[in-house]
Amino acid sequence: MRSSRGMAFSALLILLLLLIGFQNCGPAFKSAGRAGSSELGSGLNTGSVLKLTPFDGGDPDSEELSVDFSKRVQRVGIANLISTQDFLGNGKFKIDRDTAFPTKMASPRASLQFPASDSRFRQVNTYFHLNNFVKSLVDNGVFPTDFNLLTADANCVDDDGGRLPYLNNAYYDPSRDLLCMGVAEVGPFKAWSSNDADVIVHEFGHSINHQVSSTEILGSTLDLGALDEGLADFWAYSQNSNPHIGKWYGAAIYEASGLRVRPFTGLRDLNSVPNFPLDRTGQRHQDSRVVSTVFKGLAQRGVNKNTLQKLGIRVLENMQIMSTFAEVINSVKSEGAALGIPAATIEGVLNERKLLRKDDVNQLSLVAERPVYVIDSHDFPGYQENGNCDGGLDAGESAVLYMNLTNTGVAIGTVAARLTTAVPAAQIEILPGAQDGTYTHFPANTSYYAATLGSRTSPTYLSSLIYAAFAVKVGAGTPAGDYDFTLELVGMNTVDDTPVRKSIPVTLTVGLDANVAGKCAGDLEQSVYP
Amino acid sequence: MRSNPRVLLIGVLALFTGALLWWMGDRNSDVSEAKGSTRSPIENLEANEAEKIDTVNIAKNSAPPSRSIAATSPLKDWAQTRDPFTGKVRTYSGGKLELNGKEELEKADTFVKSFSQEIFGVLPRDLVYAKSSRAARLKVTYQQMLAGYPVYGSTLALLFEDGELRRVQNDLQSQPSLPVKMDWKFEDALEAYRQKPNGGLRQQAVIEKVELAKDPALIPRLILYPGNRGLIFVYQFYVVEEMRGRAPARAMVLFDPLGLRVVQKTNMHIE
Repeated sequence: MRSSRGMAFSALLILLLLLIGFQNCGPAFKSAGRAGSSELGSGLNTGSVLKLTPFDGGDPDSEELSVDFSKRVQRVGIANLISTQDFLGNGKFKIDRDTAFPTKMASPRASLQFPASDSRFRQVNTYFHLNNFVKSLVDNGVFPTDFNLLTADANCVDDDGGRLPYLNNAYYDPSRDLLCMGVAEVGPFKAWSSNDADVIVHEFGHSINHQVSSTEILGSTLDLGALDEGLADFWAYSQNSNPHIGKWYGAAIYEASGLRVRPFTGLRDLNSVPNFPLDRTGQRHQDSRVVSTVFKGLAQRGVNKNTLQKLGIRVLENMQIMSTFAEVINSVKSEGAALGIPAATIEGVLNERKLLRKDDVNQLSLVAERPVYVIDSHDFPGYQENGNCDGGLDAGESAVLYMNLTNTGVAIGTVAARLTTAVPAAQIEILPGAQDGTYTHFPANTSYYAATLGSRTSPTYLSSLIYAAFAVKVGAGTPAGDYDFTLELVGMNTVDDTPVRKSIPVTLTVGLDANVAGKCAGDLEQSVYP
Repeated sequence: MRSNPRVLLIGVLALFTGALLWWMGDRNSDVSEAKGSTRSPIENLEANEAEKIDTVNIAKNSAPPSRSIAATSPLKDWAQTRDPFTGKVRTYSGGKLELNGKEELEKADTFVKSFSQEIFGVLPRDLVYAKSSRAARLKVTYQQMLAGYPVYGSTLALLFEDGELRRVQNDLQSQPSLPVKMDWKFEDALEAYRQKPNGGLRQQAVIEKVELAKDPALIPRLILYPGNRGLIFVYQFYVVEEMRGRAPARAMVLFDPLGLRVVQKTNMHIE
């Protein structure tokens, strides 16, 4: 009895010492330019200084970024859970893998204070921010109970392949329950994503999103990809209170890619108000602001952090396969109301972003002079076979179809599209996985002529419009002639229960001159397109 | 005049019995209406599909199918959202339903056994419990199966609050018909994939090397995928790919072994 009491006392003492040691680690983050500044508090352990070395040769902006980073670290608070194992973790995640420095693992059994140049510093930093984020969700009662234990690799060089390029970005891998905190190389300097609190929380936020919803659901549409990114940014904002997401690591990514953006306001600026739908690009990170700035807008109108966390989780729980922004916005409305957020507050935020809308797809029609592009080259090898680059659909050929639409009215947002046909599948089959598509938006009074993305010769690629693409296979014995299809369009609707639909008949002519091997001058040549 | 208590009691009992008989008759007529003429075309379609499945069930098992215990859908008065292309109800919300069972999992099981065939046209035996998670609400998810094969993306999610069912999310395939299965070999499918690893309808970076992910949990498997003309068999597997000028990437691939093409490819590096 006495012996076990003694052991318990010893364990408590060790734990206390560990906590003291770890507490010293938090405030010890200091920027290179502000050492000794009073805002960092007193009693700092100067042995653990984070020097975010300017990665662009002394640009003063970089120093500001590092100051900003250290301020954010200051706000996060003190970690309160430490694994009793030989690696850091808290039962929801563990840091027992380090692909860049596999033999250097920070252990709570020893000191957790490391100089910023030590790779274990980044393990501690990752632990620190993840633990606080987890604690925040647990305390708010919204941490998912079936959460798969996650492995966080704070110095990840990705052991999947042999080569490491200049940029090995940070990511979450749902198939392995893994956070890979990668690195951007800017000349001789390595900028590790695990130094940036926003990136750490953002990536872990993806794991929350995917486990509350699912990878199948969040990967099913462009809009849900944007929701995934938008909420990941919001999780970072909710923890670190900085609307300039990923300011430090983001700058490093740009530098590593040979781009310099000054002033750099982060990878995404949650203070901005996106001009929906014209700002849409079809790129999930860029389109994420449709979601993240709604949450930021609600925060600005006084909705507290706990309520917004609950709202984010409830919206995720509501998502289904093929959901679009309309279902996201409708969920923000209904779940926001369930949480007691005044309707006027929600509507004010949504209206400011032009997200309360009922788009009329009746103002869309096929472009008369070239309604459909038939891409019958080999640019899309997953979908194309026997292409002969004549821009027409031929027997024996599998081809990609782009429907060119003209908009005769005001700008409209996400348009869901589906191609159908009653022609027997033996003659014409719309290929599985290629029957549904999305137009991200249509600017007002504009016609669009789409050509192959990245085509070498065609000048008509428009980056501002991601258009629906479909793929069909024409049976080898299909007679030449005209075949009927239907293009179904559904407009974005966040106003009532009845979205505007339109069915557009499409006629495609099938020729007989397919399967002429070698007719394409080059696999990527698109010379037949205007 | 004094009333006879015995006569009064008999009178009250007669009135009560009459009222009870009248009420039961009214309930029965409600049920028959709900089964027939008052349905919307889409509801009729769903009911017909359910009846078709019953017929299949009878033929296969030579035994009467286990009919739902409820004559009408308990969700019929709930708010609905529909798939704009097919008209299928995707979401039921705005109501509350108390179900038998101590815990939500038991209640969810009660719901599936009682109503999945009636409402969604899917036999309870084809809905396999997948997971439950309590975050903002308790969400119980069932995976649709057919002949032992999971149907990709086809789930039923039941959301509970305060022990009551509050929301139902239907991503099920209501006409589950098993496609013809051929004697494919996964190695052949993988080799075909290696020849044409670019999936999707947008150009991608040149893929120089494809390796099958070695993680024990990511074993390639045959599943069903909802195409535009019904279900098809696809292989689901995970690959590690090297692309020129980029870090290696992981992807989940759904590959059609009959058409020898990628049906869906999902990036596993969520940045």
